[in-house]
Amino acid sequence: MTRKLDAEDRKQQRLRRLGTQNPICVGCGETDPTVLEMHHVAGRKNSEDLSIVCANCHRKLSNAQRDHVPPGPRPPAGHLAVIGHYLLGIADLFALIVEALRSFGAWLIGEAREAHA
Amino acid sequence: MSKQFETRIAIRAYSENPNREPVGLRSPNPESEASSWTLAFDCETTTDASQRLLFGFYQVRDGGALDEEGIFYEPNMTTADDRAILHEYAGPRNLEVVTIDDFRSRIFLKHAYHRCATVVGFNLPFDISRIALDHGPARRNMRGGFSFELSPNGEDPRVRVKHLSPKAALIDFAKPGDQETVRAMRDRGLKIPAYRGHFVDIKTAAAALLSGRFSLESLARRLNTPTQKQKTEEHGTITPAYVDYARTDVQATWECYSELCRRFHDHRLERSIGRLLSEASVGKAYLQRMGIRPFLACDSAFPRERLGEIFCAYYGGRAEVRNRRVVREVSYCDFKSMYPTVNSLMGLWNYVIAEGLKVEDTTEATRAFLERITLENLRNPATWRNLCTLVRVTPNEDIFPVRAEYDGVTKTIGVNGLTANESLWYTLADCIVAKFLTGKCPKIEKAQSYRPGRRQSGLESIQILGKPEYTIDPNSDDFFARLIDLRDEAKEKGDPIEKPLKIIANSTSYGIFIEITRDDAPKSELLRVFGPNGESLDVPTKALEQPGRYFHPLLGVLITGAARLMLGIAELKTDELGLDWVFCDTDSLAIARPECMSRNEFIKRTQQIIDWFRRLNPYRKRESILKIENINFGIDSKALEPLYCFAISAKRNVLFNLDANEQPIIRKASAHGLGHLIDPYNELDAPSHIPNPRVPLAEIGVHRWQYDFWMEILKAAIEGNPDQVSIDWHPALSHPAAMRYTASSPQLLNWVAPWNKTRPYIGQIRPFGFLLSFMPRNGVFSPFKEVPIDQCRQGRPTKADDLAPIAPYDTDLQRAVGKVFDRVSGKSISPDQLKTYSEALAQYHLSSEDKFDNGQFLDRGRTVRRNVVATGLVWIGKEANQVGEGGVENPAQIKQFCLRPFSK
Repeated sequence: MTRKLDAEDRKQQRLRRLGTQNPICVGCGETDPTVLEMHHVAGRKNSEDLSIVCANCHRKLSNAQRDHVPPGPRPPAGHLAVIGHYLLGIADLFALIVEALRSFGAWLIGEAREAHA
Repeated sequence: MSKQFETRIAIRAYSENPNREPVGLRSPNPESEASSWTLAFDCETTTDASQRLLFGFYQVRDGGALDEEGIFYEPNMTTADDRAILHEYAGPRNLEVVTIDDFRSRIFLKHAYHRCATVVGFNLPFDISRIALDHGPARRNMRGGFSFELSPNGEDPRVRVKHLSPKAALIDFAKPGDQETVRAMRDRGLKIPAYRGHFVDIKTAAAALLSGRFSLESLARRLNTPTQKQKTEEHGTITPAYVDYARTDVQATWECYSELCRRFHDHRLERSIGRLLSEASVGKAYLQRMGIRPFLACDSAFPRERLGEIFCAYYGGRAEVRNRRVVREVSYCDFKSMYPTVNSLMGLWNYVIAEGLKVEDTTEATRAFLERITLENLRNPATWRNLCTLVRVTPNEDIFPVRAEYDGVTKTIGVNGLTANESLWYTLADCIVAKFLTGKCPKIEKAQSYRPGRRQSGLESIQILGKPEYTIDPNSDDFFARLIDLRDEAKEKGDPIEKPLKIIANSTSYGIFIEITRDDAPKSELLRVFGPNGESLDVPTKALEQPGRYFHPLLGVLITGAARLMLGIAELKTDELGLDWVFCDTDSLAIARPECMSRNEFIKRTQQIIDWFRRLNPYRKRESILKIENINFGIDSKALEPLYCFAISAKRNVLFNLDANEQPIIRKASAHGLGHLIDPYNELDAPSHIPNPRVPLAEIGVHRWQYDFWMEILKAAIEGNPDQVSIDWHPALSHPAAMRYTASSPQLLNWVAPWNKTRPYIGQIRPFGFLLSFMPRNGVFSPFKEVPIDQCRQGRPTKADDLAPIAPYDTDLQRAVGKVFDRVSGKSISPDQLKTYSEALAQYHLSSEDKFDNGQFLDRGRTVRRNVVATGLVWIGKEANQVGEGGVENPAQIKQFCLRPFSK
């Protein structure tokens, strides 16, 4: 479009591309649409399924995805490999969530300690 | 039975586009979420033929809070004085005033497209057409509709509108020139689907959620919104009062939208309000909510040849007149929720929630069943469970529904005697009626019984409007019976949920199972048509047909067959008890008192008929499923009062009481065959010599002029001259009879091509503009042409050209008459070539009932079933859609796929 879009227009365009009006990073809970992106859960060569993640989590997940195929010859494409990539992708997401839960739990305990002191 | 009537008979053929999956097989299109923004707008136009934009109002809201309100205007159509009025109005109220160009780009496209706002309006297709720069035919899935240009910038999206019915249209954004998926995303293998927008026409949403047809005024009244629609003295001239009126319209539109959204939200359905196109959308959404998958999705490999066999047994509801053009005292009865009742009796819910269908050959068992069945057996609800069977019979003077051109032109269905050399498919219910009416069993060649497959897994309970006390479990409840039980409970408690329950019951019990959508393609495409003998044909046609999402022809066929059986039983009981009947229509019967019978005896025997059906009640509330309608009681009392009926033909009848002076008091009348005409005068201009209606016209079901016409028909009938009805009771009846239609498709807009050809775009009649059509005087009404004797030619006279008179819309019909032209030749037509209202109505009181003998114009009394001898079989598709409210048929008539003569 040649029309100049204002901040609200750009926000709405972003939300449209994310496919929801209430996007949230599945890794850390970030909700600002300007930093949210779509991540191919199993890698784009394996599946078109997407999840919404923030730019930081996306970088971490994409980095982890590079190690999904261990060194050695590439496995032939097929259902088994796709399912394998999918499971590893979900495991990466869970790992992020575990990390977020750990830090949130530790933060809550810290808060409780401070309130008691 | 009467003499033989040799004709071809027609059956409905199932068809599918071989290159396109039926919609039931496809998963529903994912819906994008609308943002919190809303844009409501409304246009005010000139009152001339072109209905050009003058000005309009808009409101932009974010989450309900008003963000911006303003006026847009068309600079070319407004004078400096007009604009001064708009600015004076806007100034103190802090309103923006923008040109239409600004509105299109800065308001409409910005919000509707870039901000994903929901666009709200009343009759949106008309308003979108008013603000458009240009239009053309839409393509792909919106073909048959219009595509509107809203920006000179080719990268901006166009808006597409496809008319579906007078109450609904599909509206979306076409793919813009610009790519939705930005390069960075494309590089990462991401693809974003084109944004189609969110459009809510509250006229459509109201019809779906509240059932019925509304104007903005009646809708605001019904929803009791804080802002009600104002009245204005004159449209088309900008005055402060008119501007205020326009602003109120937008506010009322917004308030109606908010209230409809609230009501829709209460349903907790998994779709947006913009996806509601009719009551059926609500029904389908509830089925979806329960996790019920469509029949074709569950059993995609179900043989299409078998669907062909099933579908050709489809005949609709039965509507007939038995005693024609005579005044008879009647008891007007109807069946309680006919379709849910027969669904429940036959256990059809098990078919709706089944994975598929099992078919068994039950020829021997069915023959034996038909041989031994008696009327008394049918009082047992368990007997109805055996009716899920279709039979192939060779009719030999058996009485069956027969679809034929009884008048030589139009295909209608009459329950008549039928003889054919070849066998035809009917429901077992139809065979039972045939046996009872003739006393002999039709010859069954083959019978196929259908059983439901195993139950679908993952079905979930629903709470209607989120209320736990209105829970339905699809696994254990009979959905149809449960809905009616809940409705009965709600009625007793005075709970307003009763109305939504009625809508859900109506929308899930029949129509969605037999839904066929018609798609008029610009070029012929192949359609695979399946006939009654397992054969198929590939037919090139522009009139494509597609089965709807929950299409399940077996259910549609069985439901209507069982409903005809119900009516057939009522007819038999009526005869058995020495009574008569005047007319029947799908689920109602007007039982007539024989002249020699006392009124008390008549009431007693009518009650016996009603009681007969008591055992068939599948509901918790103990009562008969056949009920005496309220109009049998006095207007202000609960006592039965003599009710009379005068029926002309199927669906054309009037029910009335007589006052102390033997003058009729109309209680219910039909507008069938009258509704397409524009009211020649309004209620304020009604003739003084005709008594005013004693019950509201809305309750009677007609407009004032139609009421007056029925009063004239009754007056003539009561005086003993039913053939001579006054058709000049009002001076307005001497004016040409006009019908309104909407230019809702490129094909219909093309009718005014001769008018548009000579005008600039701004002055042309645009899509969704209103037009008028007239009836040419022909036959005995045609003006006498004096031909000089020396110019007489020998031989057969040339056929007079049929005129197709139309005119641009004008609220003043007399002015419109001066602009009538022939839509084929473009030549102007003078008023003396047009039929007047009087001429158009001249034969209404004599309307023939061609499907029966003794049903011709001057015939009176009992009609007699015809004895049809079939000479051939015609496979047909869905009937042509009607154009707008009028009775003008779409140029694409009923599709005749194939004609096969029977062997002699």
